[in-house]
Amino acid sequence: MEEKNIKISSGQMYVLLILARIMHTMIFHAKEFKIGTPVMLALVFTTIIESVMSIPLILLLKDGGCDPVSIIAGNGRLAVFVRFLYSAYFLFISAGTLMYFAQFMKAEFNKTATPMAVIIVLTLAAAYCAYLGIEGTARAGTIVLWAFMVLFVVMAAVSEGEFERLNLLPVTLKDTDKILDYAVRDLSSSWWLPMLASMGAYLKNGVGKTVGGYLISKFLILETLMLLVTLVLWNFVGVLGYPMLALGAYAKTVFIQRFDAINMFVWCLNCVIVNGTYLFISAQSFGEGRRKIGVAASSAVAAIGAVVIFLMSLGLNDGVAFVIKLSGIVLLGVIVPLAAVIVKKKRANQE
Amino acid sequence: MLKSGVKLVSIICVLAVLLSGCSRLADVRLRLVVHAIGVDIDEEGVYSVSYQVFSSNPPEGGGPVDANKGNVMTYMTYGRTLYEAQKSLELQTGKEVFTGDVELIVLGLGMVGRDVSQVLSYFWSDTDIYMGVNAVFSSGLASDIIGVQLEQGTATTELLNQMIISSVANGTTIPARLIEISNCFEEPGASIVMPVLTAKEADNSKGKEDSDVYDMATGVFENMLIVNKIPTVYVTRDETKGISILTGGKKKYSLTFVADGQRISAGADLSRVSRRIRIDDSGNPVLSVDIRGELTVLDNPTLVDNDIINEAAREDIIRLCREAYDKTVSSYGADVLEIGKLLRKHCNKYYETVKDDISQAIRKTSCEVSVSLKIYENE
Repeated sequence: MEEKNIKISSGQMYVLLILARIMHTMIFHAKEFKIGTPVMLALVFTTIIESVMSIPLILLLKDGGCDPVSIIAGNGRLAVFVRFLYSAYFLFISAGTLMYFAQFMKAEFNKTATPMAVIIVLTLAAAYCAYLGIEGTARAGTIVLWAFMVLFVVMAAVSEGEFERLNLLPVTLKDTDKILDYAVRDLSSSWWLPMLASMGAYLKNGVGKTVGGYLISKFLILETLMLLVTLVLWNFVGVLGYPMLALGAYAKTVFIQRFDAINMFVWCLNCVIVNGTYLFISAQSFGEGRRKIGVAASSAVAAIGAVVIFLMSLGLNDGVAFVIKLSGIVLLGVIVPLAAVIVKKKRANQE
Repeated sequence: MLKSGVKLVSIICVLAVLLSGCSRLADVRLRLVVHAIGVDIDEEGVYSVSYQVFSSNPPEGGGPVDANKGNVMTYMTYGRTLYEAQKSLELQTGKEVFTGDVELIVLGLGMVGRDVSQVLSYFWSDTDIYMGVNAVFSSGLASDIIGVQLEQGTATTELLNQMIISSVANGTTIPARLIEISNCFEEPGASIVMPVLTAKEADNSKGKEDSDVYDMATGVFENMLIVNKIPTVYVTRDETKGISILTGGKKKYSLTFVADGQRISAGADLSRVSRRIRIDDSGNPVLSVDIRGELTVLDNPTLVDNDIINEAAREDIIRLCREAYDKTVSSYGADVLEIGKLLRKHCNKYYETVKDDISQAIRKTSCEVSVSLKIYENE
């Protein structure tokens, strides 16, 4: 089977990155976590930190795509090991996405098929995306992003609630814990950095605009969502648990009130695209192995791997998951690209 | 080409499976579409739940359901919990209960003195129910409101909601929707005003002894003050109007007052209500409310001087505010004026010291009201 991985533009890369972040926000359960001005302030800090963390990637990919692992270790054992880390990391992220999506489905749409059935179908669809390649997935992602944006704007615009400015409480020193808590949570979901690093080889052109666009979009989407939640929904988010879902629960139009099917449709599409991208990253990280067993087989192996990790991580402690996520972001999203930049510069100097 | 088609069909099939929520199609006759739910409770804590449901029986000889005819039915079930009562309804009717169309929740007078959050949380936890649904009290049994027969066929619940909306427009009630109640009950010292619907049999049967439709004097004639989640005392329409003015909840009010011995009718557009809170020298909060707006004289048959009307209108607004303050803040320490939120936002240090006993702090809060009106004569 011929490899179908064609290079993607920086705009398509942006779509995949922002969809992954939106997916995480969609299935973020607020639990006892209270959204308000301290959290909005924390997002400002994390955006600045993320901007700094992305500098190695911008330097590495400023002139177009390249593979940081090849730059550091060629095709040696170290390269195989680092690729394995990327592969395992994104299988873990994929499994986590599936797990939280399953919880979301169980909590909000309990009349649908059983969560496990939904997960298997979603994984099959995602594996198909991975099989089709990153270019096809990115194209489909563009449609899903538009669908999401329309849904988000419509839900926000027709919200029946009135703005309660008294909910915009001043941030005080007492909120430091809350700010730090959210900042760490947000940073631990910044796997767009390793995502970008692992897909560097598929980029047609420079990545500066992609990173800038991603950080600005993420900041605007999350701040808008948090502002609406704070001003309009307030404690009600705790009832539904999912801030983005709660946004549609108080819309004045009957069309949006009956939003379950529409939301579910866009949520599912996004889950397929995002998981498809994760599986693609995992499968392509097999390296030589992928070429030996074929694209379809490697995608299937990745899909099975994601489901197996999902089943294994069902009882996983939140703290352990957090450490794995954050370690992966620092190692695979910052240190590996930084090392690649240094090696690249050394080679350029030697030449 | 064929390959692409197969791919496309595969994708559609996968998505169709994902949309399994849409596969649970059920004939409308097998669904019990609930429009309104009434909850009464007896002394032993057993719920009597009344459901106003859409009756989908088509007219004799077939054809579409006639919206002008009585197409609602009332069912009554009992249970130790609301869930049990709903299950009982399903068993009684053999139909699947659909609560996604609920437009009104009525609590019976038996709820007075009980924590209503235990009942209302059942509804806001039901993700099918829209969070903008009005919740009201009944002046008697909730089932009296749910079972009320109005002349306009299927639109009974809509008419009841319309009555609430009309009272809101007059400023004589404040709507209590599920989301607002849910948010309020999360605040310390949670207090809220809820409309009270009354359905009394009116003596205007005009001799129609066998008429199924008997007119009821139905509407919102008073309100219920909920203090710390417990329905505590009735609030008059004037007191409610005062609460609404003090919180800046509404802009337009109709006023009727006496000026220079004459009864004057006017419309007030209170477009600017600014509220400030401070801690005075004795360490107690002071709520300052500055109300500015325009007064349009609607009925002034003896041509009373505008300055006199203006002064009388000011006094009337201040009276409404005083009555509201006395009934809620002063008497019951009820935070319907959002004093807790104002303290939390503007006097945060003070709030932190009193938040564990916020009702006392609210009770100690004094209120200053200043009113400034511009007058316009209706031509």
